[in-house]
Amino acid sequence: MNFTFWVTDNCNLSCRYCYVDRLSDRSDSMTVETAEAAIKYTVSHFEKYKNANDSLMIGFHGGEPLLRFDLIRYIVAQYEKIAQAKGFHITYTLTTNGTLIDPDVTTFLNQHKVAVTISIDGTPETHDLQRPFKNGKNSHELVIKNVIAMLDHDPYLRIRMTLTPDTIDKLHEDIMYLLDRGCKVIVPALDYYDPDWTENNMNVMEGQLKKVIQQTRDREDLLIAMLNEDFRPKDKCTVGINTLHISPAGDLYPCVLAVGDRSFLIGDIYQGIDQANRDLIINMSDKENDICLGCRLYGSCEGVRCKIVNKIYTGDYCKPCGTQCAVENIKWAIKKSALAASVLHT
Amino acid sequence: MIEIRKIEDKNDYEVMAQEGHCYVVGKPVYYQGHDCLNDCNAYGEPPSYVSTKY
Repeated sequence: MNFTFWVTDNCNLSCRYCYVDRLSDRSDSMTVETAEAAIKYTVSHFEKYKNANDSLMIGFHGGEPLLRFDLIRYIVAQYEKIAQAKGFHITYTLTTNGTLIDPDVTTFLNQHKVAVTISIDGTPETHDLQRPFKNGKNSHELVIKNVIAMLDHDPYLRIRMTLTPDTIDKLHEDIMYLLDRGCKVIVPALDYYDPDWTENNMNVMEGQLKKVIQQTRDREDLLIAMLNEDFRPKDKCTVGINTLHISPAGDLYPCVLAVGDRSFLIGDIYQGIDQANRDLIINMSDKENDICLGCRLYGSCEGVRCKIVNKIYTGDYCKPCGTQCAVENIKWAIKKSALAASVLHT
Repeated sequence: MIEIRKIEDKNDYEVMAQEGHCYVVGKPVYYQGHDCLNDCNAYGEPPSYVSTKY
């Protein structure tokens, strides 16, 4: 079961595609009192809904969560006590912009085996275009230094790249840059909010990804998310039960995409889950996307499973975003050519 | 505006049996981080069987 603490909405970067400024519900930073109430709530939720062998995964997100390293430290210390008292197995995750990682932070992350994701978009040119500091200064130099330092401790450090129409023609160069510096796990993801995505951009992206495949064919130690799709059928969404996101004010949201959008609010840490609101979202998962019926990827596509993403991008729970559909088509094209190549090589 | 384009050239295969799970020594296991949209394998769980057929 996953619970993610949004310890702050504040950030020291000013990314062009940042989602936080779009949130209808912003509340700056989480207080210690809210964190304590949230911990109490997550433990009771876990005990109520857990199955045998379920473990607890606690995430930290934001804003830039390391701006509240003090609170993260406090929360982890509380969970460690609970783990010891109740015999829970707890793991931790952190998504950070990588600018605030110092030796103290590194020691803490290693000590508690925190699975870290750092956001970096590739080369200095691409990254600095999209992810400057609030004061306008470039952030790449600092972030890549910290990425390389973190790789010493975790060779499978997870890298999150955000792709935009402005930089898509550099995707191959950006991925190779990160691989050359030792990164092995890369998750490229599109900024679906950008209205400038076109069919042409998609063709460019497919070409760029195929170039990456050509150059990494012998690298079995790599995991690049868009190139590793297995198209297995996806289970029903269980947000609000197995996954909860807790805003700085203590509000409960079903998933990362929904946080701060009050139309997806499903309760708070004081009153608990609003069953009606949660069921509305979960039940949406069962509805069909009429426009997609007949597609051979219907059972494995996120546009079918995740109704929240549809609502956010198209305003309709059952109408998928065309850009996302195009990405599924690219992943399928890549899979076909990879399989064809593997047949030729055997 | 990008239109929805249905995929028609994929076959479904039902996996009847598999040997062990898909952990491979020396390969990373990716996990359900904060962006389920991009990777939905669960951290700490074995990835599902990956068929080489399509």
